[in-house]
Amino acid sequence: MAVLEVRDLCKNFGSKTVLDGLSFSVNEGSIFGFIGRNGAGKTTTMKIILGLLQADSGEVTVCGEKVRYGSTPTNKFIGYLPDVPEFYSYMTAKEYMKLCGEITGMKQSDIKTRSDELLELVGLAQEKHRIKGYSRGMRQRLGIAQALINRPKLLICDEPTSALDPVGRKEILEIIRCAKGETSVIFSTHILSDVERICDDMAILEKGKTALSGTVSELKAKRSGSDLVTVFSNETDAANAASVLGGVHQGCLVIIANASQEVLFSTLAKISEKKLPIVKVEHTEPDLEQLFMEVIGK
Amino acid sequence: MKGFSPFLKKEFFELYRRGRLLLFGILFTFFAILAPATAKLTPYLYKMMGSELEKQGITVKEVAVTAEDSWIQFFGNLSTILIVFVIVFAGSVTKEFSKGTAIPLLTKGLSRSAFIFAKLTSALLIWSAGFWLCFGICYGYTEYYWDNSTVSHLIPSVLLWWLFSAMVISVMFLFSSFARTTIQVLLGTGAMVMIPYFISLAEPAKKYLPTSLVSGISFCNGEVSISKCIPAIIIAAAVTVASAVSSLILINKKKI
Repeated sequence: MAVLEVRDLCKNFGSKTVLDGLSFSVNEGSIFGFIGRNGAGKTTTMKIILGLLQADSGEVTVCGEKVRYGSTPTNKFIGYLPDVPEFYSYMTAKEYMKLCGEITGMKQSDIKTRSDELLELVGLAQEKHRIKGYSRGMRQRLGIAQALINRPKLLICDEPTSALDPVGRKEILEIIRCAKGETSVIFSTHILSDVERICDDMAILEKGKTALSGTVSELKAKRSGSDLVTVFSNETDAANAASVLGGVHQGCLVIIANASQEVLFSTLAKISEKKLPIVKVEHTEPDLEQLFMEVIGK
Repeated sequence: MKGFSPFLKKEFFELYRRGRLLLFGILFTFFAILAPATAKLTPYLYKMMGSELEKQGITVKEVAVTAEDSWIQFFGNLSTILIVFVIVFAGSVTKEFSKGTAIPLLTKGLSRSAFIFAKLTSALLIWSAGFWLCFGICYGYTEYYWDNSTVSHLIPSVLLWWLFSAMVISVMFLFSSFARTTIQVLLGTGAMVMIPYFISLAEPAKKYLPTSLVSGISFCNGEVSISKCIPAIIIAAAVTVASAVSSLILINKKKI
């Protein structure tokens, strides 16, 4: 069953079209990677899902209920982590969690248990200081804890790892992975390794539409092979080799796009046969970055 | 109005933690004591300056200070406190949106109407508590030094001032519900006070304009009749309620 369904969403800001018929859905219990370049419309989509922005047309349903602009009742199913979460700096993490619990209408005893549990999960249980002194990573972790307080069916994370150092990123991804047991997650990003690391499904947003969607393994398999790059010590050698090997000559490189294992073997045979003066040959596993580049036409 | 009560509690907690309760407690008390103190000290000041003034050919006679002088100071000080209050609270809503602190709570189901209504309620409660505390302290000192019974229509005059201040605060939250910056809120609120003030310079319009409600001591000494200001009272009350209701509607249309 789909926890979130987005159908034909359109949104213009003045003459600029940001979303142009965007459609995708997030299945229950999955982590969904929502990928797009900076400014592609990821945050706009998320704000529409949260009822913070009004779509020009299209429909969004959360747990089968239609999202309304303004104070939408569907937010009771959602936990939201903004890209740069801001909290009341004069509060402690516990005080903030209590406020969030009260706003969602939880019982005091439940708020206490749940806050302790979540602050433990995000590593802030021993933190007695006010939020004012928190680092970016700590704020992000508190952001996830507050988003999960009312056991939402859908956790929306807007670029949760973009501004963090590698340690902070790893921690946040682990927390999101842990949260998967109790909620579905939609997670926008432009960091593709994060998607590969934790997502089950993904969609690439390009020119306001879903350019590609499916499971991560499915999409990786769609690409039969990655580029085969042969590096030469100078441009003349590369130019000569390009006519023998086929492919495109770029500076000291000869690139054979989308090369399968067979192409690799035949290229190596030609190199050996013609004794071409190569520096190195590169043929990596297909990854999402290449797929993403193909989709956005770079 | 989902989340009104916890958010109202948060507002008071914020005022306490950020020291604003203390600030306004000190401010209201200071001005409350300042009014009778200034009145009490006036004769001494004149006496001290007497020889200096005599050199300039001004003869200072015995200055008789009454309870009315204390209340003149009191009403004079109220506008200063209201201006400080508006400046401090003007960013209450806009900053929540510009910094983004409101977003996690709104997405948790806090209704936008509850958000702004809790802000308005806390501001009105703090203002009213401070206002009447200020009045109470001033009343006590004035009674101790002089006799409040010599000042007629005192309570109605103070009540009308309070009504005007409540209207200003309500208007401020009306602007807060759609303005993007604190400056816009201040300019809008300022304009809503200053425009009627200039119109009220034309005598026939005066009785309709809420600015006439701050006549203060003129009500007490009978220069201005309270009964003549009934249209202004009705208009001020209507503007207060209409601003509050409109802010609840407009905040729902705000782009975040």
